[in-house]
Amino acid sequence: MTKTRQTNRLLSTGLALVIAPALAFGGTALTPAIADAADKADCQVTSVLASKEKKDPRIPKELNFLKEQLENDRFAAYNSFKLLERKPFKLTKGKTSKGKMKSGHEFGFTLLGGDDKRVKIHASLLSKSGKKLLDTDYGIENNGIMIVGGGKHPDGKIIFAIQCKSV
Amino acid sequence: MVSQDADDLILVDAAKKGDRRAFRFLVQRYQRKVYAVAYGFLRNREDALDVVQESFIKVHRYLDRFEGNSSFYTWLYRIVANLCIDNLRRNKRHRDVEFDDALRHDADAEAPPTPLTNTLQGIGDPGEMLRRKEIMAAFTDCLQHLSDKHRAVIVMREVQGMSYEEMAKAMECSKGTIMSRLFHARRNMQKLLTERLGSMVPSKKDDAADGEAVPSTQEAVMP
Amino acid sequence: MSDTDTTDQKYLDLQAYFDGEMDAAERERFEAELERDTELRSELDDIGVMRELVVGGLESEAKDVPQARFEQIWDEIDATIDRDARLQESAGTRPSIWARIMPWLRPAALPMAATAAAAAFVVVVVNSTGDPSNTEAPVASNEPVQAPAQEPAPSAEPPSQEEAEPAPKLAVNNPAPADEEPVDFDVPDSNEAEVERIEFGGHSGHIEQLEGSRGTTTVIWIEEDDEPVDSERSL
Repeated sequence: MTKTRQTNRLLSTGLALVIAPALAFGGTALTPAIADAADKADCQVTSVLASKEKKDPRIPKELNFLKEQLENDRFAAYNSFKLLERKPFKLTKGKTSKGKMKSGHEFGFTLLGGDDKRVKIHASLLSKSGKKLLDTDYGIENNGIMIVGGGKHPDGKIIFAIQCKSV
Repeated sequence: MVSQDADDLILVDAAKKGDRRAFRFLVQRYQRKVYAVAYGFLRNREDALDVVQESFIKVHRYLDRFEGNSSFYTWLYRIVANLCIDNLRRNKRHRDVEFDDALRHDADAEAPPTPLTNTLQGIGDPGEMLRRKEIMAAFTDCLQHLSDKHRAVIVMREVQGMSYEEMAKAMECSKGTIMSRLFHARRNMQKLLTERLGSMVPSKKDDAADGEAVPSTQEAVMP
Repeated sequence: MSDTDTTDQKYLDLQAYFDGEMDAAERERFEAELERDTELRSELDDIGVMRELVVGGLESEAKDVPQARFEQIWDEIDATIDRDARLQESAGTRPSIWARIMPWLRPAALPMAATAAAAAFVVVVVNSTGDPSNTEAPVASNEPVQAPAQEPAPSAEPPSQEEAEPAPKLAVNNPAPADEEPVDFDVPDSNEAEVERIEFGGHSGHIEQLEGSRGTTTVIWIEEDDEPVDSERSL
């Protein structure tokens, strides 16, 4: 954890070009050229309503990118999925980008680091009433999908699919 | 240009791109099967034909959402089953007579019905029997006398080959309910068929040397 | 257990066996039972016969339907698909101005490169309030105006739905609420995530890995309980 914060501080001071080559985090060596690419990232949260109401087709076209996951046994209890919202978040290293979904859930993302292939993200999730639900740091490949499930919804449960990529 | 014998998925892909001819090939390939299923559910030619039309229209509207992970006909059959079940539910409110387990067999009171195979053997060899119109008429008759729910599970299982799980989803009930429903449906059907066909067995009739049946006077009251 | 219960259970098993709902172990066990029990075997035959009758009977009924009926049905399907396509064109995405004019231009061989004539034509189209056949009123001198009048009625649908407004907003049923431009992501090579730190709010949560064709996808399950004070819905 401290490593991460160090990276934040060090890189944000512009000393990246000088000291980056010497840093190695979990195999991700930040060279000057790559360090630039890790300054910004585009993320998107797709919120999906999973319900027990029967609908045909079960997984609509716009959710094809999640098809494999939604067809996993883990979601077999749900008969239909519906796209509720797609919300983009623009991240700049070190700054937290917050946004409220239509469901009332509030996401907060901070770009911790990464290179042109991976990103390291801090994600937080608050309930409609502001209660903390989740706070996590994770690293993932660009375009990789991370799923946060179990959000409250009157008609079922909400599944959030989070994707990020460094730009 | 796709050929009429092309694989389902090839036709689907072409249809997705707007190839009307390819879609027509799909329709032609499955229309009678869909009709057979719908007729099994609804017991009425016009209603069944309506379902054929609705099903393929729906298929075309949702074509983009079909990714080829299941077979095309599985997807198609699911749409057909759902349309039929909706249809039955709608019409249930309008119908006066509900053929609800008209011949409810009482598992406690009676012994299992006479083995069907014995009865049929009296008529002719199994292969030949399928071609006999009388037997088909008897079968259709029996179908009329099953309740909607019993007919539904029989059609879904025997004609569409749906799994218990798929049927449970379609009828919005538990798998256990499906199994029980299927059990009673088959028992009822067995009883109905045995009674109906029993009257056709040559040994029971003086003149039925070739199994010609005097049509039963039962009237299938159409809703 | 009464005899009836056993019979019922046996029959349920028989059913499951016949319907392919048993796993390998159950099948093996049941097949052994079948070998011993002749009555059970004859019951199995019965179900088999019924299946053939059901399938055969319904197929036979289907054969009885004259081909002409199915031709009729195809005509209806065909017409409906056309109708759907036309409605989609006019209601869905915002068609370019040329896409909207196209139905009008079809009969007339207007070279699109003829900018002067086309531009004048554009003016005519955008200002008209009715279907193509009514364009004589505003600008009578424009030759192309004649062409639209030849258009058969059905294709008057798209233009007639537009008034002078630039974008016909009939798209009330947009599939995805497009408040902001959605970001495009490529298909990921891998969803493998390294979770370095995680905190769940108050109640428990857990992490799962879903197996997939390209590795695993991480799923973080949160437990969001009902908040009795705020909740208006009873469970």
